[in-house]
Amino acid sequence: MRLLVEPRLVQSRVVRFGAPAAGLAFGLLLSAIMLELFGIPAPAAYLAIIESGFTGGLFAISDTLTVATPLILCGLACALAFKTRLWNVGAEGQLFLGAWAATGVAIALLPAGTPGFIAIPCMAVAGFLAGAAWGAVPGFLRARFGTSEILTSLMLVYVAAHWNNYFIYSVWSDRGFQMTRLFPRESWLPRLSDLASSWPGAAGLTLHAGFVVALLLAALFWFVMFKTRFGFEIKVTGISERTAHYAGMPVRRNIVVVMALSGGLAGLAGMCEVTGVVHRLQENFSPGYGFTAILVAWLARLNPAAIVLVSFLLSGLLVGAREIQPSGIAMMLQGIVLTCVVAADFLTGNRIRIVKDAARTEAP
Amino acid sequence: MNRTGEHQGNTTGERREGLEEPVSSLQPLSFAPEKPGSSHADEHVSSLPPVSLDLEGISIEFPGVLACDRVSLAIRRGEIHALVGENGAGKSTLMHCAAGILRPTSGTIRVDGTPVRFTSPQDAQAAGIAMVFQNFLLVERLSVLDNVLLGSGSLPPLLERVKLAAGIEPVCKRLGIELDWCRPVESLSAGEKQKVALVRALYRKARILILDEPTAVLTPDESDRLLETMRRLAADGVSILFVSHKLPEIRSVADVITVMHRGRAVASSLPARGISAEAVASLMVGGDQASAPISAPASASASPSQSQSQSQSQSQSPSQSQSQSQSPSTSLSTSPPPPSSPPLRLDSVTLRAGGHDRLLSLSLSLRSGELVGIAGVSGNGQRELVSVCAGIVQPTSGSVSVGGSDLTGRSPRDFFEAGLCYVSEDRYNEASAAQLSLADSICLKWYRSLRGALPGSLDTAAVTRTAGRILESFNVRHSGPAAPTASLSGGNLQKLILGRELSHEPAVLIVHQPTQGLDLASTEFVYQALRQQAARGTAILLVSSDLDEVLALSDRLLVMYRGRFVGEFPRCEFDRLRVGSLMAGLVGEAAP
Amino acid sequence: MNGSEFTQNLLAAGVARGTPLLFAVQGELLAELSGVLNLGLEGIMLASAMAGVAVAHFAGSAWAGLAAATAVGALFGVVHAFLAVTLRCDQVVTGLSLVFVGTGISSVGGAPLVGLRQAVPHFTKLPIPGLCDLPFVGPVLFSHVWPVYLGFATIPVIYLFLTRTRAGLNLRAVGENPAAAAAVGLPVTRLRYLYVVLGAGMAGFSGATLSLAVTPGWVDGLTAGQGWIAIGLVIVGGWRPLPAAIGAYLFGAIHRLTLDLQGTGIPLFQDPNTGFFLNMLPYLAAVGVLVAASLGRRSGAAPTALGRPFLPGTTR
Repeated sequence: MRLLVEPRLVQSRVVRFGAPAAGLAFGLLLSAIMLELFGIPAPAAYLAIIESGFTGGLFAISDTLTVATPLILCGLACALAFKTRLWNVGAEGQLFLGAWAATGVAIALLPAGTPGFIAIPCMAVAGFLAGAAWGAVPGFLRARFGTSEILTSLMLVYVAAHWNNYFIYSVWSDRGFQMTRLFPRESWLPRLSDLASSWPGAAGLTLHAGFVVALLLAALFWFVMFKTRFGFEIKVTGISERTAHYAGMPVRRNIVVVMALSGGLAGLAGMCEVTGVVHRLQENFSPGYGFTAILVAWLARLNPAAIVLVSFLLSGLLVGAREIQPSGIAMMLQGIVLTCVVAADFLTGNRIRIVKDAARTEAP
Repeated sequence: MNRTGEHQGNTTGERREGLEEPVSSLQPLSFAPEKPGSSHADEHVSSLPPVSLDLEGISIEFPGVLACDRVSLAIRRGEIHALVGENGAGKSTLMHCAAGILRPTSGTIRVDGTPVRFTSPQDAQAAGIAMVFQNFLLVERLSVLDNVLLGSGSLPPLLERVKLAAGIEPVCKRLGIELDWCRPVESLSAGEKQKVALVRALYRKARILILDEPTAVLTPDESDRLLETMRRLAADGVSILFVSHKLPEIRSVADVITVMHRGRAVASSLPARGISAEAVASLMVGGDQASAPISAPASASASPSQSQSQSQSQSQSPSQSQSQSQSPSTSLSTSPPPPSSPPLRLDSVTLRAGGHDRLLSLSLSLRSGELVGIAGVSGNGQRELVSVCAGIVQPTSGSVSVGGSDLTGRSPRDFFEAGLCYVSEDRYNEASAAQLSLADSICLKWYRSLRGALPGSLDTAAVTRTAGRILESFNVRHSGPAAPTASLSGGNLQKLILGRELSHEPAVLIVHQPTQGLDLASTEFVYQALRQQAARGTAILLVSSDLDEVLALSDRLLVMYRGRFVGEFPRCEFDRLRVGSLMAGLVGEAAP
Repeated sequence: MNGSEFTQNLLAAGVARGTPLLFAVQGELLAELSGVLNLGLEGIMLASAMAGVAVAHFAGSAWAGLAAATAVGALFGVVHAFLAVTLRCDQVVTGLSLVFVGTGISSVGGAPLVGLRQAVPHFTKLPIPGLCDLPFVGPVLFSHVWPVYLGFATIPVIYLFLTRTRAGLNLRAVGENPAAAAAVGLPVTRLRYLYVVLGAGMAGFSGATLSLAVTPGWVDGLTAGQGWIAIGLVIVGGWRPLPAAIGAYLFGAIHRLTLDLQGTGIPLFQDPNTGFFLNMLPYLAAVGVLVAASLGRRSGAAPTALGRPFLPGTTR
């Protein structure tokens, strides 16, 4: 009698959705144990997260969707790269640079009083381009020299962080504080609370227009992936670079393009965050959106609709975890849940049978 | 003949059921006399050497597949036992089982009469069984010495390599082999690698040697020397079980033959000298030997769909090619001089990669409708040659032109658009990808023309339609266009790939190892398709390490050795021996 | 400060700061040579550095902290090996998920430790009598905490292990061609577990070296990307132990260079703004050497089976 692991020939619907769900449940259980180990009452912590992230009324939902916005954008950024089997783990850095460029446009480039319909698109373009440039660097190094994009994209996160600090602490510092001055009112993204004059219920709701942009881009992502020739090339390249090259697809060019688009999406997330939420550039404006996005993309299996859903759930976690101390809890929960879901993936591809005695493994 | 095999299969099956539990020590005695007497052999009755490896009623089941079905096989001491059968007949599985890599689902293995249960290859080694794999399973980056030593039970924790090498010398002497201990295995030729694998097996004091297609990658000369070594080992008392498709060599070296078909032994321990090649070939394809038709040579006009019925005639072609009984060519080498713009032309192409010269000043020109074969032992630059021809790899110098336009330095897409199609040897990782759906695999090159309404969009309905059309017209056995490419067998995948390339109506077709790993029916399908396409005027470059295949199909043949063309033969001058010695680099660099 | 003093301080600091990197690099090297990519290094180092400080603080002994840190690292190794070897998950994803776990745990568990700083029991410098008085060489090589000396010793040990021992040969075979290794009877799965756990344990030791010896005390994000740099150094060193070790010390020095340059009195480096750019230096240098390495070799030196799960019973 022993355990036999064999590939699952047919993946039923139950298994496909059941296994990740089981992984999620197991991950939450494991996290609870870890929290208790560190002396944090887990049930209370979970309840606090659910309360302030999801069930705490309109404000909670609005906050959660606000946090979901950069997560969706960065999740799409990661999913695009992962689909091509490019491990862009530097979305955080691309987000920093997007935020930086948008800030530069808002407070340094455009004259005061520029109307929003000019300022906001300019900031968006700048944010996208800056992120794209930052993403294109590892893409180019990978395409040209074969350098591991995992490490280079990650190293560039640290570089981007120091670059932003230079501007936050020095060049654009507001009277010596570690932040820039507030953006002019015109270049803020419209948000729900702007409607408060006609609909008082909206007062204090922080959800901004970036969320709509994120949803539109998710739809566009779906179209590009499944309904365009570029999407077809991406799919083939991700499965086998050699096959793509054999089929005459411009593999190297696509690697740079994908990394640039991926960086651009993350840059857009940074732009949305500074113009939609904080309205200035400061250190630590992102609680690691770019890193959490890796998790989002993977949990969603690179599917855009699922990215929106997973972003919503995880942003609830991020919002909730703000309320409880210490601050690393969200990161730990994410890590444990991801690990468990990845392990559960094994069950979707394989099944474990108990057998008496048989051929040792699968066919050679 | 076939009936005998069937009968034997049944009896062993019954035996298995009947004697599952009882004392096993009686079993070898009870049916030892039956085995050799099963069909022809009257000469072995008494004074036979003892059985050293006895596989009895071995069944091996994989999820959904019964790879071996109650197969029995006995190898005597000092015997050379050939195991033949088509791909997928279960030979490899059976050998892996004997070597301790797989466990049988049911059945018994005995070594020198003692039942054994292998849970790992090491168990088999301890029992004196060693296997030399078709791909040798050596660690390429490690040195020859390290490969021989690796995993040896008697290895001390600290390696004193000089002393250890001295300990292996006697084994080499016994085999008449010399090895350079320090060279990394990756720099060796296939023949040398095989020697390393043999030395490794014998260094472990193997008394039973299992060889999986040992001559598949060797030059004719290297094969001869291997057969000689096998004879010497057998005379020393080593029992050898070997798999081969090459009937002449089987008949020259083997004492007995076991034929497998669809997981069963359809004939066991036939004396090798008394049987005709035709009889074995017929058993291999599951036919009845007596009524096996010696059909007429395949004609160029036969359609691919007829291939099934052609398979039996093909089964003999490898053994017959020396006599050149088949004459499939449509254009003779005395055809008119080449037109001004040949479909494919290479001009002193040189390729350097990884610090080595891979291709050295190759020039080649193909005519429309001409099938040019490149013979050579694999690893002599063939892969680089086809990659350069298809635009996958850029040559270091020289030029490649397709249809008269110089495409040097251009992308594979430009080559494709100039009318060049390429069937790569790596079906699952280059010519398609295992995880792609069948429809996507088929539309790998079609997708550019399947435009949707919006700019940049893809007409996904057209993808499915195109896929369905090609799957059907090339007779691919599949489970829906959305199924993963990995679900296809090698033969069906090759049909898909060839079908896809031919659907583009190429002016030039490059095929690399088109029938490697394919069964007879699929092989014949490929041959028919190639002949037909050449008849339609496509220039075909066939690169293969299967010399018989190149000899049978080509109008013109070039021999490749160490990145050069070392010989060129028009069809009327094909000379198997001379080609063979050129392949081995024996004849100096004859000017092409 | 004169030139030779500057160089001496820089090299001494490079050796000290390079030591944690060295252990991490060697651990990763062993895991990768067995064919398993462990991208979780940064998380493992953080979690074990935190665990080291915590245990040292509560048990009052730096040795207990060191042992705990190593054990935490090894535990991460067990998890990674289970995911990557047994479950054959994508090693990039499992590695990244371990980074999350490790970073999160270190941040949660380390929150109460942040203020402790030097109050935590830690290892102090142990100059080697006699040798430490040598001019230049003494301060550079022989006036350090003891893990630095251990680091020196590991370099030849690992080199000889890989080239001269049966176990080293088996390790390389498993990472190059697991099917061939299995065919001659090596327990591929067991060996991969062994080296993944050993490698992660060394990463744990490396984290503790950082938090209990080189820069005592805990701050959030203590490693500042050194785990990633260690992975890069394995690549840059071409999977050979000696160049990887040299790289570790070099990056130790680069880390220190940013501080030292600001102390030189050269106006450019005294401008605080330059500091932001000097801080980028280790990361830009890492990108630079990675590119240089890929230019030189085109990744030919990686173990052939790196990152590829092995299905026992297969022969190709």
